[in-house]
Amino acid sequence: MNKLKLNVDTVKAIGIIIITFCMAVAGYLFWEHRNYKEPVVVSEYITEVKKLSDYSDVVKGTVNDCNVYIFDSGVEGGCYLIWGSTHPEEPAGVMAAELMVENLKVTQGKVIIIDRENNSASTNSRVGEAYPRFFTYQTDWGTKVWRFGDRHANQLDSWPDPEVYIHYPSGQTLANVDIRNTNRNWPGKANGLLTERTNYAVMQLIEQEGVDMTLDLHEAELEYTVENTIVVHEKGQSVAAMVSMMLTSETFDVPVGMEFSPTALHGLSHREVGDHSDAASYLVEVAEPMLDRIRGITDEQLLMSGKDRFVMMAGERGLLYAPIDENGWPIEKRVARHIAVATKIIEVNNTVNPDQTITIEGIPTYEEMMENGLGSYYHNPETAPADRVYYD
Amino acid sequence: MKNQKKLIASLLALAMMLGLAACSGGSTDGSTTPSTAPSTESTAPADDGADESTAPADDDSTGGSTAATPAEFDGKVHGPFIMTTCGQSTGSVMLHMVAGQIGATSTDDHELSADTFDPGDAKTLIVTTGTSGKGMGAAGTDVDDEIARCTAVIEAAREAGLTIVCAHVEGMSRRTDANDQASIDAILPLADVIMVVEESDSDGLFSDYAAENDIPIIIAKDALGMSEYMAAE
Repeated sequence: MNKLKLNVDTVKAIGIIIITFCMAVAGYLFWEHRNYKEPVVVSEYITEVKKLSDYSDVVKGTVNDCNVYIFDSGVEGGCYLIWGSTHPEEPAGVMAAELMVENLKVTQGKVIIIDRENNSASTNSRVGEAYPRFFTYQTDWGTKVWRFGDRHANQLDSWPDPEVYIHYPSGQTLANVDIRNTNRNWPGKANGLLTERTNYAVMQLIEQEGVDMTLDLHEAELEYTVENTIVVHEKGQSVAAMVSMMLTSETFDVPVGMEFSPTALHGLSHREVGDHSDAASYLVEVAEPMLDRIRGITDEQLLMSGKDRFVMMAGERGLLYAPIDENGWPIEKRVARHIAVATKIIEVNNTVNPDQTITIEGIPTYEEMMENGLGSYYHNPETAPADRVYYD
Repeated sequence: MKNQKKLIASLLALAMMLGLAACSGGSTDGSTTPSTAPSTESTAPADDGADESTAPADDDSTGGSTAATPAEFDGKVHGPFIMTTCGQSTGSVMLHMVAGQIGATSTDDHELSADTFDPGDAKTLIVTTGTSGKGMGAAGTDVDDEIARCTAVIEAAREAGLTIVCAHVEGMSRRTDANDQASIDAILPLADVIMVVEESDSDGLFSDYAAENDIPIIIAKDALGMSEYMAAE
């Protein structure tokens, strides 16, 4: 009996040790993901780096009090706000925004960039989807690391979700988890939950800075109808049409389309920013095969290469809204498309609205990014002057 | 497909030779050259000599007016233009912008109605096909209502003597579902001229239809390339 009892106690002890070990490892992994800070070496031509709370203190002290990178030429012209990482599981957005922050020079007008519009969501993950915690890109100086995340803010930062999410101010009901989706609660709410307050603060930025146009960078699954396209508010239709036609004609191998922003679907940036400010609002989508439900192994390799044989098979059966072949949708192409759209909007808007003219330098062309990759456009935080290194 | 392209190319070459002979005085229209040279095609129907060619299926629904014959088609559509979309997609906005680029007068109205249709001095009605779920949802309409609206507008435009153009300029992204096909199927038989981009016709849908029904077709590399085939007057 004693021998048997000893054995049971031993098994219990071993079990407790294993469980404790797993908890400790998991806890560390969660802690590391939540606390990793992404270094950004800002362009030498940046004029100011603010915090979002400088525009509204409703986000002060929260994880979503993000950096606001300002490039003000001092020459009268237009004002353009670009943001990435509304949905951190769509990495081309943050990578494109950061590439511009690290290289931009504005010679007329003003450009404002937010790399991480929903920082909280970048510390999250999607339960049951085996998402990687981080993604990386090889640069000329080493490996650059970003947090991967989810489309919803972290429940550690925003809890509990309501039983029914009622969008403010429209009163439209939406899925309850979308209370944590920053692209479902524009124009925000000063006394709302975290993401509502975040968008309220960005709307304050738009008003205080006199923003003329905004661009929200996204990616989408190939099974989704709104793919490789610019979704635009009425105020930007002429510009978006020309951008779509010019890039399709002159630059992209896969066309970039255009969609009208639905007037009756509330909470999205392309609708509400245009409705509640003077700015024309744009949102751009590019294909990201990892978001497709039919994908194979979910790992960083798929995320960055955009290659997946199961998604390809879906395409062969006519189930997709974007083409895909053995070359996939590599991150270089997705980032390059975003940046090409961002810069072409400036170019076309300069002709359509000359009083909003913005002129820029330093941003690589689509062809240059496809030829050179992205690595040479990100700078080494270890060797950069300390006053040019910020953390998202 | 390759054979078809060769056939189109051969006919294009023939059409260009005839065009050179007929227009030796040079271009007289007010169109401007696009920023990039588009590799566009404009062809008469491939089998225009076929005795078996048929009129559009529901030609009777057009009030008895006659469609333009290939002989009347000079390779361009002429402004001033009135444009609308059958399915609330963005094609008509694009062509409206192209019309602006060539200095043509153009009106783009996504809710254009036969009841209030005023042709003014317009010469051409362009109806773009392919649908947008977002667009139709935003407009509170559906593909059946869109087809009914556009069919009525086309009838009114034809009575007013306008050339009717069925266009599809947004590529295969507007040929993905039953709504897209329904809008194409409804407008194509009413067209005097078809305008499409290469990608939209990648399976030959439009060029085959044009050939079978003896309708002039313009095939451009992309929407911007349509400027080569639109004249201000």
